[in-house]
Amino acid sequence: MRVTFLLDDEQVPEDDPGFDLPYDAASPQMEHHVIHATRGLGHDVRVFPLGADAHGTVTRIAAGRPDVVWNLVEHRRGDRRVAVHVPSLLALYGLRCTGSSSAALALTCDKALATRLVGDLGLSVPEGFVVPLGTARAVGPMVFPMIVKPRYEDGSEGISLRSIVRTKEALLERARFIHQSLAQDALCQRYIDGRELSVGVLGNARPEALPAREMVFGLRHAGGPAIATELAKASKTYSEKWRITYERAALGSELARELAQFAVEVYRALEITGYGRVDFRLDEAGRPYFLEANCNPDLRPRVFGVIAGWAGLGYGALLQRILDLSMAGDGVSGT
Amino acid sequence: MKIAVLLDGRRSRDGGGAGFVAATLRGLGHAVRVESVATEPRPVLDRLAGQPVDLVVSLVRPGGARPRLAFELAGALDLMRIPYTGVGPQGLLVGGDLARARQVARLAGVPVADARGGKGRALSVLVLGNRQPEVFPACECVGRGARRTWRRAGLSPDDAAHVAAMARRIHGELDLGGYHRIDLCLPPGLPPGGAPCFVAADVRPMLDPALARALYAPLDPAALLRRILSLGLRRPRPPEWAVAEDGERA
Repeated sequence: MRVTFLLDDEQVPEDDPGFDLPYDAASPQMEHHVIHATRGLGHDVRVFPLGADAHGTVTRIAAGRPDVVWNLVEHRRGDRRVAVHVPSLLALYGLRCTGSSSAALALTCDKALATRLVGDLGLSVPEGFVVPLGTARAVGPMVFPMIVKPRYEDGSEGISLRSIVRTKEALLERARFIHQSLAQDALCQRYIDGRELSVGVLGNARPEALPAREMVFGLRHAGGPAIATELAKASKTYSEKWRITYERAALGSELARELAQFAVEVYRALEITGYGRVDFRLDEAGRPYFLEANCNPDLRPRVFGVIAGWAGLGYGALLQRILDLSMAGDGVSGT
Repeated sequence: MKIAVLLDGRRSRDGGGAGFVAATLRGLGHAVRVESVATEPRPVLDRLAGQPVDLVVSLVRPGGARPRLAFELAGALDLMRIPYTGVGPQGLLVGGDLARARQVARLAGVPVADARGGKGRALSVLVLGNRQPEVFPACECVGRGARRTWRRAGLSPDDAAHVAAMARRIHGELDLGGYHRIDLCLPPGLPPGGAPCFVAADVRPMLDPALARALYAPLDPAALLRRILSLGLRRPRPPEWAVAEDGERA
């Protein structure tokens, strides 16, 4: 199969733009693992950065007549709201791509909208409201403590321990920080104290949930963090200091089934296809609350690869499954 | 300005809005080319990249054989950094899908009438603007089918204010911008302070002269198009455009 990878510009190494150097199992870069493993499956792999000229890039890709474009673009010069349209541009050129359409990416990118849509399914979501960019109005249920986060970011960007607020003044201060630092609305939600869980999902029309993973905060009861902050996700030193680990979630069978069903319903409602991840908080009573859905989850072997392994799917088989799913259906409708 | 008017097949067949728009734009002194994306959008995008324009006027409507073509095109234009008129991709995705629009409005706490408009006066308002939308005087739909038309609705000042406030609220909740039409229902016996109900949003309303005269008064059609062009050029741009433009200037 001819597989063309489309990446964020900074993910393409200047000294190895084709990812031809030997595989390094210790590489922290997701793209490195996915590209080498895909090549290892026997596919004919090419790599393109999106670049400043998106149209030029897509026309060059189309000229190579790939069977599928593996879309790993997450942002465009830091802006996720524009990057969600990459599948649309590919679809307009008749190119199939892995993962979700632009519609799903747009729905999930807007956490406020996604939360409302999930809540409309009758599933539990934290109460909340948006403080729009350029305003200082908090109009909505003030149920403290609350967490204030960027409406459109991913990977816990813009989330720190200061995101949890206990007064209206602190909430507005944090909203102002998000307005100023990320130039977007602030989403304020009731903070759910409890366990942080993620469920990977694979599939199109009949999605299947993988076993849940838990982000364990080892020192949460000793003054350590209890939320997935930007630092907790990005810094190994910080994670080690506060004993933050990722483990297969120990859940009773009934709760595991409930969470899997919840994740699949979210996946369908937000039109996610191919692969994705749904994040939850489990409150102290054991009730799962939707946090967000991610159409571009971390596909590194030690992240999604481990989760797939719990379901008996090896890393190569996981990537092949994602490719196969992209070839199912018309694949180029972009819808 | 160099302007490309994009049509879908349905719009090409009716010949009304598109011809009027192209002729009016030419009358305003713009260099206009008309492109149809009905069957194959790729050559149109290639021409937009190879023969750049200052602005795209997309008359591609949601629905039809490829319901999200308007959304896809708007997203592609954003990626290509080509300005265009009207509602952006998020608004086309949400507002351009009747069921989704009504769902999102309802979830935002907006009263929603049944899909046929419910009991009461059927009103339509044109909304022009991006972050600070201007709501035009409400019109009332009279007649059915091909004989359907609009006339200015005689509303009390209170009702007119409520209609305008609701239209602005829906504009924000559905992430609309540029120009669009919102259909509302004013239930009979609405108490003072009562809210009109949302029926639907038309994210790519027809721009033909007959409708323009009724719905878009007091603007004449040419003035209306000038406003739409201006809003397209001033539509909030993705932050990355500014970065790219700075980089290119440097």
